[in-house]
Amino acid sequence: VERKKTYEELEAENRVLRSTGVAMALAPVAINIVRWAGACVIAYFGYASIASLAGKTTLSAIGINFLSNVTISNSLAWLLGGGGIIFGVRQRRLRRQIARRLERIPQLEAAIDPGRTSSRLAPGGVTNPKDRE
Amino acid sequence: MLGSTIFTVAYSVVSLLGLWYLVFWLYRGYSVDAFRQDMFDLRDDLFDAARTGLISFDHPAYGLLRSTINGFIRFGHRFTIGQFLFMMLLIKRKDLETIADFDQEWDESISDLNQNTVHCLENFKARMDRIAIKQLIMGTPEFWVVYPLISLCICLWLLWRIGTRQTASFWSFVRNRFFPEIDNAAYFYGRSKEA
Repeated sequence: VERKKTYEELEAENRVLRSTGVAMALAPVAINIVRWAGACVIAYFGYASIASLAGKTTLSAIGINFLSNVTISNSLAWLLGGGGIIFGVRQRRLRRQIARRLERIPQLEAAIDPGRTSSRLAPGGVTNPKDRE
Repeated sequence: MLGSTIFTVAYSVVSLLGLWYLVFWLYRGYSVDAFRQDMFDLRDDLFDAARTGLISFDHPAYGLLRSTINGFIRFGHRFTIGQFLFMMLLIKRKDLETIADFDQEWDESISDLNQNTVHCLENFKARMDRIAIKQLIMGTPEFWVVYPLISLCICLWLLWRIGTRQTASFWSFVRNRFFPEIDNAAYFYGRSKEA
């Protein structure tokens, strides 16, 4: 039987829930400020670089030197491509880990239903090597 | 010449925007999924340990650990360093200890268990904390820019500890200073039906 909470416990719980609510409202704001500030900086330097090429002299000297440098541009493209590949590979690994975790269900079901049949996929939810032959 | 420069600029901007999307959106979603997966694995291993007779499913230590893991899984999407810092600032440690004192309940719940079981459960708990701190550090790319500064502070702090001959490990300091709050919060939300 669950014991009844005391007045102090309820008060403390109330304060914690209130503070958590405030923290949950503030944290995404801070995160979004950083996130969108990054996007604004990229957009600004992109715009300023074009403006500079069109003959306007602005703060864009820094931006144009950075963004029009072929080495930097190539490095960014490689970084994006490499990052994308790593992301894809890790997502795939995660999907297989999840499939492997779900293999527990057949084990537990087999304890209840010993005659349970199986699709016979290999661990990780991939095609059984024997079925490739 | 001008055309190729414009092309290079456009190429750089597109790559930067792609990286921005990859890091702040795609990676963020992936890190939450990976964190939950690690916690699911831990919870399954704990279940298997109980199934093989290490501990009873009704034992308070099993319930405490499982509820805390559930709290981490449930609120994994909110488990960011920003959230953690705001919670550290806003929530009084005493309040959290009043409603859910994980460490105290843990010590009480393992008191009737044998040495081997306690050792195994402590390993599960340490693994849970390691998964949580990894997510706290790596799960919020928006804060990565400040990590070099934090690393420098940690190095200076460690040098000071060595200089003053304080030999307690950095990990145990972090565990004792910050993790009671994290574990208490996860336990509180893991056992509550609504939040």
